[in-house]
Amino acid sequence: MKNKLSIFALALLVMVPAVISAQSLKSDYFVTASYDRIKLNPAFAPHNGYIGLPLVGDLYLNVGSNMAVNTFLIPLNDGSGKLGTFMHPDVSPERFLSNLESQNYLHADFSTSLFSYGRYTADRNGFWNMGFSMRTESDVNIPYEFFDFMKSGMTSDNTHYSISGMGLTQSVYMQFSAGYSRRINDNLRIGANIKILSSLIRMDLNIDRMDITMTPDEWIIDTETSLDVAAKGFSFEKDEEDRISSVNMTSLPGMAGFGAAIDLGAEYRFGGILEGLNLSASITDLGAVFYGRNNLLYAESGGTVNYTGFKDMDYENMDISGQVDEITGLFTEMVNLKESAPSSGVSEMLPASFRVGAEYEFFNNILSAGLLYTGRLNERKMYNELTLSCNLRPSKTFALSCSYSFMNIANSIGWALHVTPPYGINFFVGSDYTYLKYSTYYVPLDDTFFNVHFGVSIPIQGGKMRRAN
Amino acid sequence: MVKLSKFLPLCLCTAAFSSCVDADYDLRTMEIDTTVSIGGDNLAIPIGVTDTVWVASFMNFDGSSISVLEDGTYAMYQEGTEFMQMPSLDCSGLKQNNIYIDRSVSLLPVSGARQTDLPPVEFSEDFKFGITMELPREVVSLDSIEFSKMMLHMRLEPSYGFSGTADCDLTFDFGDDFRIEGGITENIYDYSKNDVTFPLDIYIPVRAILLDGSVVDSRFEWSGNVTAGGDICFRNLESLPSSIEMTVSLENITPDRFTGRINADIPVTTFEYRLENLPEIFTDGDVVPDFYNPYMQFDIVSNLTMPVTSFVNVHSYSGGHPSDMNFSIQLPYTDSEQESAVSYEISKYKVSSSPDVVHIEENLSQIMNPVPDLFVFDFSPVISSEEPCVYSVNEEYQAYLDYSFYIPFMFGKDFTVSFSEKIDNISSEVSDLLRDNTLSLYGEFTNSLPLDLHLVLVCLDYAGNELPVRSNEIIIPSSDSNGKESKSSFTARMEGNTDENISAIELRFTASGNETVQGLPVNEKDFIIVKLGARMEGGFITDLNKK
Repeated sequence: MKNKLSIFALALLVMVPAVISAQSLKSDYFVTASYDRIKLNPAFAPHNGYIGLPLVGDLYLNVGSNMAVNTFLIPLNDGSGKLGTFMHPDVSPERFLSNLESQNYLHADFSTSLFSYGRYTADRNGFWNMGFSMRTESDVNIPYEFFDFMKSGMTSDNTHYSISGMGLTQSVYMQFSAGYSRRINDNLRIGANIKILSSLIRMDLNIDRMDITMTPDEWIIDTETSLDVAAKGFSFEKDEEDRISSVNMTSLPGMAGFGAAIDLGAEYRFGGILEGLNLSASITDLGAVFYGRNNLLYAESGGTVNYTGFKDMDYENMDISGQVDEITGLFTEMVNLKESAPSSGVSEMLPASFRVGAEYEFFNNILSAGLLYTGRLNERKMYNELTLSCNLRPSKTFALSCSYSFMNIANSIGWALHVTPPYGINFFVGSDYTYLKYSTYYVPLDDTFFNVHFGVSIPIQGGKMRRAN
Repeated sequence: MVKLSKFLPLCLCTAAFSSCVDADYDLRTMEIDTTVSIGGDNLAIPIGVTDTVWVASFMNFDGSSISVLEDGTYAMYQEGTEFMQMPSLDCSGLKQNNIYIDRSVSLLPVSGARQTDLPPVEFSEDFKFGITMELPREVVSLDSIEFSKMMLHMRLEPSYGFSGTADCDLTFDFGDDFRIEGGITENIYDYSKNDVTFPLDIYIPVRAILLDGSVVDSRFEWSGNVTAGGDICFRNLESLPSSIEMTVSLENITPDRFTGRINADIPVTTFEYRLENLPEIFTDGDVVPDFYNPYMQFDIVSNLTMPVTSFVNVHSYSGGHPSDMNFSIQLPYTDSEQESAVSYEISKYKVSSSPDVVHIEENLSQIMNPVPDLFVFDFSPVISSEEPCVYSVNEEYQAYLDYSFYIPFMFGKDFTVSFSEKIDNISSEVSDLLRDNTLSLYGEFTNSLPLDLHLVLVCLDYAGNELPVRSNEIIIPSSDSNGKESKSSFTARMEGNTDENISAIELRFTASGNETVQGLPVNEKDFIIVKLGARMEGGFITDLNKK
């Protein structure tokens, strides 16, 4: 079970950089017209109530990776004017590997709101919101040593690689949330949000350890591989040697894990000589997800493959393709997973986030500047980020924000555009990670942090619309 | 403000999306070179270890006429039995002899007085003999003729009316002309007996007549002399004979064998050893077949009574070109007609440890370069002219030759053969690998053969033509002088370029002897084992677009 927990923890570690920006825009934090910023601080309330359109009410796509396209596609210096892959013989290992970090991840997540709704209370001091959304996440983590192995290969007659932490994670969640924000007085506003999480499926495939030793006479590969699946209504199908061959659906899929979380927030708007200065703070995702024992599948494999070539080769009738098949079979044997029964269910803490924001409004609140600190804590590490923001609110129906984030994750420029007329259709679009260097077809270079957030909603209570304060 | 709100995002977007296009990554015009190098600059792949490759498979002995001797040594080998014709003389003339002899002598004239006892009659008479015989024309000279049944018959017969007995004390002196049997002292036959009655017959077996060797026109004439003497003392005479006649004759004079010089033509015995279905290593390429010690063994049994020397001519033919070797052997013979045997081994170095095997040192390897496809053995027996021959008139002389011819696979230091092994049906992936990469094969050879091996790998196209992709020469040392296998590391770098598809890899071997292991046999238990790896300089380079 200890292994299982560590595997889940590793998966979370892999996810962290992307989760920081998950499902809401930092650039929206100081955009008062945004109903999406409630996710960042439940004390916030938009200008008006809203009904999000199904599927497009809150559409979010995020791709994050510390690997960039120009890490893997490199202009060749042979005068051909071509690009070469990182495996091209003219691309030196030093050139390729210098652009990699110790852990190289690729995260992609997508979420959509199936239903969202928010409205002010009759006295205009409280704001209710609720939503039902679906989210998928995919994570791949490839350690530096694996790329070193791929690119450098055998560098001497005794080459050793120790690869750990390579994995693939896939998960699908449903989330129901309900929140309430209340103005306490003219200066203070607080809010809370409760989330009910339902995990439909979660799968982690990890090569926990792969030690590769290569000599001219022998290749030794020592591996530990594990597969965690949290899913209801699934089972492993095994062959006659008890090796897992596929995953079968045995009943209708259901809720594999259940969880709950709470978000808390507050906003203080100064008056007097400090009027125009607003401070806010929030903590979100305080909670956990529990996976029941009956919904967990666990498999592992391990051992050493010692490849010294083929024994008893028939050199007169050398079947090279058959021997290649034998090699393939040999390496396949390394990942022949065998099921182990989990002893109990698993609880998984959600990575909580802390945010502290300071904003100062100028020119009768048409322009503001803000500074947002975001901290996210998981079991192993604290991630910090500062976002500088410039917010333009030229009218009640239009808002624009530009931001610059730096520190832990990646230095990036963000922006958000909100069009919020009191009647008809409201929409917003924005991104926290806008890459500035790209190839034609807008393929990002240098780094791969990109997200886009888009939403269309129908404003309600528009006649009573007012600027949030 | 409204205008600002409209233009500001536009400006920002324009700035963001148009000013930072990296010209090095213009994907509209740039191609992506999909050549990849896998495995690193020093990629070495252990390919494996071959099964034990026995020499029969390795040198393509299977299906050939190669034999395996009892000790496991490979050899080309043939054995057989041949009947050798021996001298046969026409001896019919010997039976048509002419004999001359003094037939009778009157010993005692007796008066008419009646006497009961007379004084002994003493006498000494010479009897002359003469024999003339037709001889086989091959007989050059005669030393003696032997008889098994010939008798000298002497009869003493008194004249009519005689009665009584006598005491005889007689001596027959055969001199040097006869050889008699029984009662012999210096070729003198003594007859001493009392109270003999008459007529008295005395038979003396004569076994040989001795000759001076002279033969003229296949005919010999012989004359001899026997002196008979002694005394006869009559007893109890009732009547006195008027005379006693002594008669001498030779009976049963058909000769059984004779001794002399014979000059006979004996038919040549010829047989062949055809080397068919030899392994290609001995028929193809530049072969230097330095066989270390090929040998022949002849086991000959005969009933000869004369010294016969057989001159042996061994002719080897390779593509019609002959090589010859000559030597002689002495066929076995005895004085009697009993069978006798002798064994010969003809080789450079004696193989048999038996002291009964006569070794004739001849280097048969000299007539095996190039490797013959046919051996012809001619046996030409000649009766010795130096020694007297005994020829039995009634004997049919025969000789049987059991021969065996071994060409064991033991090689000298100059031995060299070439052979090849082809690895066919190279897949396109391997073809590309060989074509696009600089490949080095490395590993270890275990070689128990008493031969140095030289190996070159050559790539072939589909038509079997040699492509300019080949390895350097790998030298695989032979086993040591005790036959213990050698282990040697090797590296073979495949060099050269070609645009052709590679269909096969030919392993071209040259096996050669050396001074250390010359003479060690190639045994059926000899083997090679190859532990093989491949090193690709710069890694395995391939263009994924070609797939």
